[in-house]
Amino acid sequence: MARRGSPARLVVALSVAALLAVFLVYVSIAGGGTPSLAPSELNGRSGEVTLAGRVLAPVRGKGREGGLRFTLRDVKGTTTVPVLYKDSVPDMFRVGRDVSLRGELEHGVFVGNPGTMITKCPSKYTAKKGT
Amino acid sequence: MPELGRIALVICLGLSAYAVIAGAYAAATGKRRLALSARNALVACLGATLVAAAVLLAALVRSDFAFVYVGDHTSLELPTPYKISAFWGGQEGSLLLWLLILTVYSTAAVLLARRTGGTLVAWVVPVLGVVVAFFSLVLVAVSSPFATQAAPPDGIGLNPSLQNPYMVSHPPALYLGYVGLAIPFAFGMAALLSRRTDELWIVLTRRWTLLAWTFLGIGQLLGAHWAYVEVGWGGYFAWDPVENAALMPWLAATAFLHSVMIQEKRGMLKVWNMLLVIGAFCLSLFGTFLTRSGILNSIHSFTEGPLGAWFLAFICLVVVASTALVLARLPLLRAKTRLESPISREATFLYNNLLLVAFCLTILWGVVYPILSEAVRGEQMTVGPPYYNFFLKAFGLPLLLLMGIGPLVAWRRASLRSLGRTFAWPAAIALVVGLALLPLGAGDSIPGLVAYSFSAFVLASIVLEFTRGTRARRALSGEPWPSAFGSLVARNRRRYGGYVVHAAIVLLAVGVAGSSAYDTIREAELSPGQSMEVGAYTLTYQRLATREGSNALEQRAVVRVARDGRSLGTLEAGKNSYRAEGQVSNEVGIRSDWRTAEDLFVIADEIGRDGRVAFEVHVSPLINLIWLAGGLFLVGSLVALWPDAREQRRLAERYTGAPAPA
Amino acid sequence: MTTAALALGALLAVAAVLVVALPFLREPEPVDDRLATLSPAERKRLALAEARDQALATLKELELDHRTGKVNDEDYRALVGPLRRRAAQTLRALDAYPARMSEFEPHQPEIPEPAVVPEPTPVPHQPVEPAVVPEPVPPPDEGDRPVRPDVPEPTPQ
Repeated sequence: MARRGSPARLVVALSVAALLAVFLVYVSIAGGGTPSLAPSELNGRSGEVTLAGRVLAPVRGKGREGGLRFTLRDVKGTTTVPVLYKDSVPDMFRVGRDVSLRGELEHGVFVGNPGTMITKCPSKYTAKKGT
Repeated sequence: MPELGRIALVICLGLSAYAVIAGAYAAATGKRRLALSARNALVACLGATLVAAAVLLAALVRSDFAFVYVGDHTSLELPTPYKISAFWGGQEGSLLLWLLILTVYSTAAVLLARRTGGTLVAWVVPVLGVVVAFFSLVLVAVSSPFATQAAPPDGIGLNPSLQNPYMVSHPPALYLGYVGLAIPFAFGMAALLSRRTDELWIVLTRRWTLLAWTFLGIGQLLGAHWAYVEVGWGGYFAWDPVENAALMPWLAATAFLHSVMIQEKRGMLKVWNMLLVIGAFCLSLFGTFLTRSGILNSIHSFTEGPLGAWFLAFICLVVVASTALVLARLPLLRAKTRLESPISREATFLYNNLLLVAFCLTILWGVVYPILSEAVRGEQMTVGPPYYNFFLKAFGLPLLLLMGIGPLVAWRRASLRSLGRTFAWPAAIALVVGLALLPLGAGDSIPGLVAYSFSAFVLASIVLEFTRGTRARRALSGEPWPSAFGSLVARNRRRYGGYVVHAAIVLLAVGVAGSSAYDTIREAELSPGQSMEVGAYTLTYQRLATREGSNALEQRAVVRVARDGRSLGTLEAGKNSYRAEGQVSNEVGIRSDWRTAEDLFVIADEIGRDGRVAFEVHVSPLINLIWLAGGLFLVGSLVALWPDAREQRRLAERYTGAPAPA
Repeated sequence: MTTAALALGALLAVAAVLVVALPFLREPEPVDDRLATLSPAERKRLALAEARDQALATLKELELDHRTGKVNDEDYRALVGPLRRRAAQTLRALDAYPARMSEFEPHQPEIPEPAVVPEPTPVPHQPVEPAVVPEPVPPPDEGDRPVRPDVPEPTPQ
């Protein structure tokens, strides 16, 4: 009882189009993500970005009281930028570790949004094994 | 002994190369003894890999620090179970585990299929051989676990946050899943190469796919639970690239599991199934590549060694070769029937496939976006949880609904009238549940409310399926209810096992919805004696206890918990300072309410010298349903996997006509 | 330690070579070294067997769906006739091919038991279905007569 030219192909095509539409609508409204930069790429730019780099001593202050102050350096480079983070840091945070955090450059200091810092584990101490 | 390990891996490489070359030649020219010889070579790879694995394992257990790997991942005082789990603690060892599981699976697959296989199995050998050869090559030439050094007095040890049962079980479970997808892939390619594009390859790999898919699912849940209790930020899934790396092949495999049913019943979607199985396998390779290459800012990536480039090259090879093969054999993959109606079970399966693949692709897009944007714009752009969560809702909610609709719709064509009748009860229940939840605050989150209502719909339809089926069975056989139920399930293991798995997914959805859409988070800094209110709970910070643990200084804030005036006991949250490693770990306090499946999750964010503690408290409703779902998922998969003697007989009869190469 | 390792390694290598050469060592002069493939007759039989199993399974599902109320009586009546005809067709076509009695499965029945025989089970509110109309089955093609031709039995391993 199959009709020639069944509606099935049309239905499939419409479904695919619908899914694509959902995707495009979202991407156009929500924008294309935040840039992920190293300190050398900051260049005084404004707006919210994700900054990734290596933590350098000295580390001063306390996250929740006035904020933690430290310096972030390019993982493979020398450019540094001072950072202020007003939240408690993840456990793995320490000098020499690679971290990333989201925030904005304000008057030469990168101010990180609370709760956005993640630490990257060095190769010897793998946080997640598998795959 | 490291030399033995190296030699074993070289032998494995040689054997797999032989399996590829001789196997392909034998299958192409039809030489039986040569095909057998190639198959033996593939099986022998297992022996060689076992030797290499045994060497590494022995070195780990004995703490032989002459092995660089042992020195880097264990220490003398490490408890033995963790010395063993250090096997997959680093890159080289995990690659060896991959190879070991691959050779075990390959041996089992070719030996189990040898009678019914014929030329199909003759071609499976070289395809699997290529994968084995790749991993052997990498282990021999790029990333060897058998590098040696002048033995230091002690090893570096294992990161303390990895010394827990989850990290012992989560990676092997994931690997058992990832590697398992190589088997259906190999059989699919072999089907194309041998031109046996009938159902044989699907029939032979059905349980393999199900097994791999189950392990992937369980592995991810174990990882999520580990993140929840050990990393302790209050969540269990962060859309980190490595987490996505495991989710994507699982989604592709889910789509594949459903679409093969259409191919079996109606002979359609042959090309789609081939592409799906290729996609699932490539995604599992891609997942391995993601973790090894350091190409993304994931907290989980390992090193930035050359391994990434090797993986990328191999993935490209697999994609190009397999797609070319599909194109070359396109005429053999013509469908025998066509889709008759957009309202039929085939159609629902098709919609389900489209949604799953769309979701998988959006995740893939999110994962590679940083790499692509860096290549195109020169700077790395990342997308975060909002992107993923949007699509989880956009695609996940319809998928949830389809899980309830699919079983209620007939094959080929369903009339709207009969649909109306079968939907009536589940739809009514869903409506009632939705309305009942409104006064309970569920209206605060529309997606959450929708998720709850859809879940009720699905659960109702599953219960209906079981009761209607049992009733029909009773009408046939006159058995009492329990044995009618039993024989119903026994005769239709895949269907009813599948329903149980659907129920598990629904539980998962409810748990995810509850804990993400309706959770409460409060932060407060308290001195001893002070209290804070979170949701219905009152937490009173009593005192700070400091203990000397075996290798760490343990600080715990003791907190008394009360709800509605009644005390619920105390819990502790704090930090461990590991002096030797110079690290601090977060030790959260969790109180699970087993009646409501709710968790009270307390993090001691900062512990001041004066005893003041900054607390972050989460109340996550229904979160324990997620872990319960894991158990139910396992049960359902087991039912679906369970061998069915009747089915085996029928299949053996169908295929014994095809002479096997012994 | 090193000599032990090398010795064991050599042993492993020898074992590997042996395992690989085994088929040739066991049968230095094979009667038939051909990898068994499907002859056109066998392919047809396989296709028919698959069609048969598919038809029978679909019938079984249809019956179950009807009994659990997913398919209403009208649709059931419309679908079941052609399905039963198809099933009967494939069964009859398969009769022309004797079941293979391979040395590994000596107890296979000659005619496969259908998973679902068209049941006279009374469906609660349904009159009896029309009888299956026996349609003439097209005879197997010339040259497909199931006299097993010249493919010799594979030599036992």
